[in-house]
Amino acid sequence: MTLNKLSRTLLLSGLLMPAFSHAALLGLTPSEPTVDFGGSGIIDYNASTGVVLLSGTPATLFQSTPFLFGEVLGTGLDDERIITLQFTVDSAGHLMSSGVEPDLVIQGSIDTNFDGVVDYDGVLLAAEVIQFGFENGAGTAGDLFDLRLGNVSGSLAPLYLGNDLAIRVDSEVSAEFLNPFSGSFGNSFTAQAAGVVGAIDPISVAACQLVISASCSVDGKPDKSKCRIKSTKSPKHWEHEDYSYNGEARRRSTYGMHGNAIPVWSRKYASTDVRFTYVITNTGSTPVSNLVVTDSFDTPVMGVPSSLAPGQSATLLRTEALNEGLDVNVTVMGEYQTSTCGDTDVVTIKDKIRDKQRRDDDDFKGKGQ
Amino acid sequence: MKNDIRISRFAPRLFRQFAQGLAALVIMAVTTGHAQAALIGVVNTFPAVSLTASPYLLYDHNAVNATTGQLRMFTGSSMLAEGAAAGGSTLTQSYFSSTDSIPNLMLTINVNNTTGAFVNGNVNIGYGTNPANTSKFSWMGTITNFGFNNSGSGSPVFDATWTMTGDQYQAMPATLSQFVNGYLTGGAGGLKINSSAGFGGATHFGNDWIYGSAATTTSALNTFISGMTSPQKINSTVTASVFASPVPELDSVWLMLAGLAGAVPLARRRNTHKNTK
Repeated sequence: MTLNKLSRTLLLSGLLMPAFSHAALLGLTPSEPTVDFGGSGIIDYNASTGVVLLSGTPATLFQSTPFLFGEVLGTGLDDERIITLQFTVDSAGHLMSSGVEPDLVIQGSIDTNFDGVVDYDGVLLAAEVIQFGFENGAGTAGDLFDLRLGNVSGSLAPLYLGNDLAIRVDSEVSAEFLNPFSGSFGNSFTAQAAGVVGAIDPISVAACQLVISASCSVDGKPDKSKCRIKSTKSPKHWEHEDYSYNGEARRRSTYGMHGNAIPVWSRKYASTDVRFTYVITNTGSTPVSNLVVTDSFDTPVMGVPSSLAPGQSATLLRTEALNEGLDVNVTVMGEYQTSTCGDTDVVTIKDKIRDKQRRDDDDFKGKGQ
Repeated sequence: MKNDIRISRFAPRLFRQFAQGLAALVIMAVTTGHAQAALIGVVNTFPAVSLTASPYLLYDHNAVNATTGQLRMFTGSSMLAEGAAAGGSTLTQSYFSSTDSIPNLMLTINVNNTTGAFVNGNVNIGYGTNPANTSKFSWMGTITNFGFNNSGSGSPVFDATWTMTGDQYQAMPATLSQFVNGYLTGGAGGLKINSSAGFGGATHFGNDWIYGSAATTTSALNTFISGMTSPQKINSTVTASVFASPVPELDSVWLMLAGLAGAVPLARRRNTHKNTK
């Protein structure tokens, strides 16, 4: 032990204070075949971006029965053998979308029958993180991280057919890394990492459930699903809008000015302020995150929470100045792990002039004049 | 002059003992002392060897005698890492071949089978079976202390301190050229063994058991478990790292001793000055 390392170790011992412990590990045990990476790995977390990045050198592919073994060697022009895992969490350690696909990439080449000929080469494994767990060790105990990954691809993927991947990461207290995980994702950290990637039974994800209830109110009257306004003349109009959710392309019709300036002529036509109330409720048994609420207007709904716990509700309000009747379609979407859920509701705004037309057989006939 | 010769002859050993004592002090300083954990509290250093290819932990409660059990770790591969600060290079060697799928013995630790108290043990990371003229390494040593985690969860489940009695290298790559024969010999180190399945506490040393990634199904360990008594087979992700540090260079010894020698008269002067005020 050099003096330099001793002094760093002494410094580390001074920094080690009793720490609180999380018990949020998933408890996954990767099964064979396994790919392991040794203690030269590093796990790094940037609290300002929420990005967790693990990098290391894969060592071996191993399966006991039937026997399968190979050292992971370099591949490509750079003779590269590397494991990288990148994903994003919020300040509480909840898994967020990574923004980078795939999350896990293991590159290298493997000769599994000792004949000197490479049997697997290039991207050995690639996958997406779908669950993340962690445990902060107290004192000199190490920290633990485990992850479940789906959408497995790469040249080794046939070995994991029908399974998810599990990764268990041991982050031991090391004299070389003085800023390890403290139990909080509010702070950045960099630490030693070694671990094992292996198979695990595929997850059976409970479906999430959301309900949305939309209503309107004019002049402070009680909320209803249908409201009346005076019809004048409006420069607002409908247009198609393309958007995506969870990687899926979608289209909807939105009502508004669509970025155009409000024309001067419209100022002489009176409008009615309508207050819309959207109540979203998680009626399922799982938390729901990545919540998105859209309605028929061309401006976003404000105040949408990032997630809802089971049984939890959130109320969103918006007020729009309207000159004509329209149906406002309101949609909420959310997800839990690989499950996506949503609900829709409609609020109808009717104008009084149209109600006076003949053969108008709807709920407003003869009312509100 | 005679004294100088005696000092220089004994200084390396003295300093080695001093360094090892200091290392032990560090280890003691970081030990949590929690009643639920009997781990030593070792802090990792580099260089390190990771025992890879799904290591197996085997424990036979009466392998040595009626009161002494034996914990052994077998593995099919080992990876030497110099550490990120030194450049991050690694070297993997395997103990398997086209005709050999039996893992090799890497660690042996004997403990009291009632209390888990350390008796003795050794590190035996041999050369890999890589073809001739390819890079290989060997670390041998004596385990000096052993601890275990009896809280049922957490990492590591076992830790230990050891002294390197011999390290050998063959055909090392340029990126790991610092590893020459005897580079770490005499140095103090530690080791940690992790398991996803928790260890059940001291009473578990009274049973026979196997921890490993396919402990319930593998036949590769049959040779080693024939003497065990109905061992519990527990599927678990087992990892282990063994680390050591070079013995401090002599220059550092003299620098530190000179510093200490210089500090004594300074302290005396300050003390005298204080008393005369």
